[in-house]
Amino acid sequence: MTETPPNPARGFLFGQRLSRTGHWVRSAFFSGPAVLWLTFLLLVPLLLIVGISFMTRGEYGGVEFPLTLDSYKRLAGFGELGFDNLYPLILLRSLALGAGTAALCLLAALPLAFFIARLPGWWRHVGLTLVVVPFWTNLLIRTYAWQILLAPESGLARLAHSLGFVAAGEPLYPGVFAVMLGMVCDFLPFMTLPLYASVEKIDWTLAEAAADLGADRCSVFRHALLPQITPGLVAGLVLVFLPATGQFVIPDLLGGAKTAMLGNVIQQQFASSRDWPFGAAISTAALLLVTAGMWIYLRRGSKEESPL
Amino acid sequence: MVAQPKSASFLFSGSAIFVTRKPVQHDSQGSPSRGSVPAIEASGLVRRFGHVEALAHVSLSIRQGEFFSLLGPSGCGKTTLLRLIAGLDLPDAGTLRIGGVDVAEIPAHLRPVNTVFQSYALFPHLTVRENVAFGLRMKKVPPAQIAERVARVLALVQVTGLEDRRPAQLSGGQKQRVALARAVVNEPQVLLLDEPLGALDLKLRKQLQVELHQLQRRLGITFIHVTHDQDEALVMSDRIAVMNDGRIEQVDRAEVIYERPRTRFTAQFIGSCNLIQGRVTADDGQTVSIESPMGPLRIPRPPADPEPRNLMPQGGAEPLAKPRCQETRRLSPGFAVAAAIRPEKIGLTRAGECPSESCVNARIEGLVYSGAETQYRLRVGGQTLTAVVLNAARHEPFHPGETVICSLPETALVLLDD
Repeated sequence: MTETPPNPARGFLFGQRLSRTGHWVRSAFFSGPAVLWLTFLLLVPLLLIVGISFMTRGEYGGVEFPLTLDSYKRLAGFGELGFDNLYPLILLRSLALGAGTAALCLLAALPLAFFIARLPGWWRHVGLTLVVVPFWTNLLIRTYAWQILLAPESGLARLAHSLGFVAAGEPLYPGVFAVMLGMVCDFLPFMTLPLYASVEKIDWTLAEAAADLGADRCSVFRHALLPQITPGLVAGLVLVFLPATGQFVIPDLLGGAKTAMLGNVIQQQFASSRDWPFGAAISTAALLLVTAGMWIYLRRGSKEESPL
Repeated sequence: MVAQPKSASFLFSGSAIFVTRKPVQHDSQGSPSRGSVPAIEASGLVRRFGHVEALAHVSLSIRQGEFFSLLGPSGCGKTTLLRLIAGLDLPDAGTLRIGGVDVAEIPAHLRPVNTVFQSYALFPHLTVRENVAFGLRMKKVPPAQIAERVARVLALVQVTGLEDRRPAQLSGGQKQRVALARAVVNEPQVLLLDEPLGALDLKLRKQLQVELHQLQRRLGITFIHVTHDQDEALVMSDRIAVMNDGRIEQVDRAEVIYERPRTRFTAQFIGSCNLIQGRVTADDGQTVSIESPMGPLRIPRPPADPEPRNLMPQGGAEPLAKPRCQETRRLSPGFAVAAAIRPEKIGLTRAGECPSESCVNARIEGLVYSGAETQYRLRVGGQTLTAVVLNAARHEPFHPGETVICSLPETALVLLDD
């Protein structure tokens, strides 16, 4: 009988007692690239932005000392020309857009996730693929497509008018309706996929147990199903709310470029206005606001989920 | 006009924790006395899954306050029947009455029954206390009363001190008790138990069998218990329905099911059984004589079914079982029949000590010693029989190859339907 040689790959990865240095070398080898990537492409730029937000705009659009809080004051509405609610409004409008998109996506994705999860075997994959298919087209192309579909001469617009959904003379596009439509279509997969992952794992005997104990349909959902899909629900809300808050292409193209969003304003400050400190201040403020909101929400959620 | 069944609510009223129920009255057959209305009355229930008939025309009547078991191998339809009663599934045909009320239009959450699920189905995000309180909360019982009743029922099933734990922090036996408490606290007319002890180890199972039985006696609620474990059914039940292939083979008290099985399936599914094939030589209505590989045998017919009502639906639409050859039908000579005898009923003695008239010589082919008893494999005529003898030191153990006298008491022989 021949003795099997030790598998080199296996010996390298597992079943080996490493020295302290060896352990460090191995950790650095495997996690080093990711750490470097995140440090230089995320953490450092982020700190730079935070730093710049406290500096002064230079004569020719550069960044200069002294350190100041002027940018934040301006953002809060206390600029050189007295109180102006322009920027607080933009901030609120963006948050509202994110929250609205997340809420509508949830309403649309919830039945969809249950529907797909209860499809027989192979059809489930078809359903999931159809959910993801829009991603295969560029966002700009999809958005322009909505412009054409919602244009006043289009069949869709005429149908909406003749059915009385929209008052005569009111266009479908541009407007809030068109923006929300575009946003929901764009972000629906981000809500559907995590939700589906939770719905698929639901233990339906819990629903039966709830019904057996006297819960009607609403209570069965509230008490037996909702707690089971909460993880997917939270993940979906975060995944939609965060990017939707900063989204500006869709509001621009479908909203008629009349209303400024967080995204547009930041882009404007860094590009045409060349006021980097102010742009940086808006970014930092938005980041802090959203992070704080999320933190409070998740902490409340995890408290309910019990400290096991 | 049907009288509404007594609710078990008196159990929780007044200061006494549990008013002891009048001891279950046994009639001459030893079964609990019948209430005016059966707790469950099924007639002609059919449930199909695709082309498979999970339930094929099942009719059944379960009395108030009875511990009733549905016993059968997996896939026999026993769980399907339980789900139909709970309202978690709907029959394709047939009617079902709970406490005299037709429940065809009553959804699960409004039925006066509660279920203990096989997997327990405790809500993982709720504590033990919240789990048990769930049913009462759904019924909008005042919170003070909920707290009181939950505490009481947790004490009853001996789960105290765990109120604030979650199901993931409980052992299997504790989960089982909590699941039981969660169902019982609602004071259902009928409690359904779907293999409640299936996931527990043997010792705990034995202990809980006794506890469940006592709990049922104490509460007086009708228990319907689904199991594939014959010991469990025999130990706990007032009556047992043996099910096979979507049909009910036999409904009777535990000892009748064991001593006088009607069908080959029942005889072989419950305990072990020797089957003897033979042909009828004479039938005088009292005793059937057959010729078998081990010689002539005389099998007395049992007395007529003491409770033929068991098998009749209340409306009397159709007989639930075809007439049995055990009962009335005269068998003509030459008719092929099977007789059954339990291994422990076969007597073994050494030559010269024959205790009864129907003795035959047998050769011992092998034995399995298992402490309290020894199981012998016998060769009698052309037939192999299994006999079980208690090791009570009444005689020296037999050895393989030895020739012994084997007696088959007439009263232990049962004629089976085929």
